[in-house]
Amino acid sequence: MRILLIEDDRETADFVARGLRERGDVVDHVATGRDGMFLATDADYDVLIVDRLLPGMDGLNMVKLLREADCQTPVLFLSALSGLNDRVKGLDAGGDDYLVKPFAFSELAARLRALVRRRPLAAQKDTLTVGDLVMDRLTRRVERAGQAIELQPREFRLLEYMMLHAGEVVTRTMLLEHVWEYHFDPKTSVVETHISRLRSKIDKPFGAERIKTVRGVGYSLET
Amino acid sequence: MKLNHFVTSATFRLTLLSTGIFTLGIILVLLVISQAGGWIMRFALESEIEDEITELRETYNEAGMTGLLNNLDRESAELGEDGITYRVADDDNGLIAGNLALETLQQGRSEFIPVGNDPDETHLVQTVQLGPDHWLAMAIDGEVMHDTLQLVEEGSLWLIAISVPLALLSGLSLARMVLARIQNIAETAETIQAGGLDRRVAIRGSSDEFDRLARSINAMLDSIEELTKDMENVTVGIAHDLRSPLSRLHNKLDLINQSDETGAATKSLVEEAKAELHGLLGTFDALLRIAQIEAGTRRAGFKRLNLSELLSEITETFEPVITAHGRALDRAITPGVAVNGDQALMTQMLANLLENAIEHTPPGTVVMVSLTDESGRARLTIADDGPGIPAEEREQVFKRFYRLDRSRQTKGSGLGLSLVRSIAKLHDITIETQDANPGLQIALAFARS
Repeated sequence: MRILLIEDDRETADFVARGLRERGDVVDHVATGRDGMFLATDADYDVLIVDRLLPGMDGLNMVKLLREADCQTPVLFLSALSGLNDRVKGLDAGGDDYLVKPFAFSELAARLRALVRRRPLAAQKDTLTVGDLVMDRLTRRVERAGQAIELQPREFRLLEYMMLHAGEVVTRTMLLEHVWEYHFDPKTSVVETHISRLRSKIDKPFGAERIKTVRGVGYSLET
Repeated sequence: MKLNHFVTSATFRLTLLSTGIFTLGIILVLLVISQAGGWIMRFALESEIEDEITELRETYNEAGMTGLLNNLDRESAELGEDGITYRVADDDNGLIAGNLALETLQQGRSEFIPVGNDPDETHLVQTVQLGPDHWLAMAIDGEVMHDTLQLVEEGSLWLIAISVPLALLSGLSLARMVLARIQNIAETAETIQAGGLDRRVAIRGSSDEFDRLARSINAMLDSIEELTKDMENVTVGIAHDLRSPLSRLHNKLDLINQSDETGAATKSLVEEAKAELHGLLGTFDALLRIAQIEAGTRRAGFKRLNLSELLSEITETFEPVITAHGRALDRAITPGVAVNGDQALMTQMLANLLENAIEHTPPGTVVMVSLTDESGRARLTIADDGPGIPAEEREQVFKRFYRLDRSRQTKGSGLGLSLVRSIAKLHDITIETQDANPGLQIALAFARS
């Protein structure tokens, strides 16, 4: 992946850039909104990581201008602002995802992958297929190896999200945000419990485990 | 009090004003009385001679001049007693009978002062022409009138002389009384400013305006004191709840630093340190969120929410969690109950309440969630049959960092219910903790919408 990192805090920038480079990504780093704007419009990046508070040009305005200039590169905001309104403002400005500092590198990596691998077509497909797992999104029918599986509405949405991101790691917070639309951190094991329920329906009867736990990060639906 | 200070004081001005108004009032009343008294007196005297003249004119018409003179002769003593004098004269003012010295004859009423009399002692005269060559004039002494008026005048002066000082005195004491109570409030305010926030304005119990003012000031002071105490609690809470994990974190980093090995032990210490940090960040976020909610800016984004659906979804989400924790969920949700609110915050509030019911009850507890519509007001209750909360601590649980003794060891920031309360407040929801016999019931009474 070619990634542009626009972050004025040196420590955070080093932490992010080092992690991404170790993974094999190409990272360009700039510290101001103006430089970021210049590079983002000039070169072809897969994804932009933008700090919300930047010297000179603020991250929000920078992304707004980028979108006005018809630059559609996915943007992930990094921010120390964790307020409910801050997140909405970030997404309204044209950001595609919003990650609050401090964050685990694995969380950032999972979110970047989800952003870059966004397949606009897959999101609109009526039928999703992952191995022997088939989901008809119109009739809300789920089958594995030709055998129908009864799912509760929430379990259906959970599986749907995982199938849309099959092969990728989805984190607990990503699931909370997209499946439940919870923008807070529940104290109880909401995600874990529902994953385990889903497993008991789609994995257990078939003997082969499709939903894998990625320790300390999240889950992944194997293709 | 210095004189200068006194002159500029409200007491002085109020006294002066009240005395001035009082004196002006008295003078006005006296003027009216003396004026009206004069008029009435004059009218009485005039009608007295008018009556006499009418009577005498009748006698003249019936019995002629001889009859008239006889009549006058008969009544002269009586007339004299009433202070009435008369003059019967011919056309040239030649005296026929009587003792009234009048220089000219003119029809109608007039006043004259007899020769040698005081200028004050006016007489009232009425003159009529009886026949072609006969005139009758009658005069009455106005002394009574003058005497009375003089009496009124003198009395008035005395009245003013006595009442003005009295008015001054009463005005002064009235103003002093009013201002003393204001002074009382001012002094309390000064003490409070100097740090005595527990002081209150004295209430006399007369439920007058001053008591009302004192009560509202006291109520305001109560809420300020509560806020200050809340602030203190928060500060102490922050100190305690952030300091303890921070020092644990410090210790763990020390241990990592000291250990030479890089094996599993160190790794687990790092994990523990990260867990401490996670908890700290959670507390920090909760505090920020409470502050943000209490600022009230989220109210602008309120929408119509189907509370029944929202609650159904949340209970569906949490039911497996509750079951996994060895508790049971029971629900009775009336469909179609709608309220105005912020969906994200409402969701968080309900989730917090459910998680609270999981965390602070023993396994085997049944959590009962119900939503009803009570004549347009939504009422949501979350009850459990766990150990409940002692009555005296029920209101405390909403305070920041407050924890029941038995929950001191459980994880959590001690901010969950504070967050619930601030969200409830934003939505005008009355939140109450009640005894569920056994257990705890938290009742949310929504505003009518």
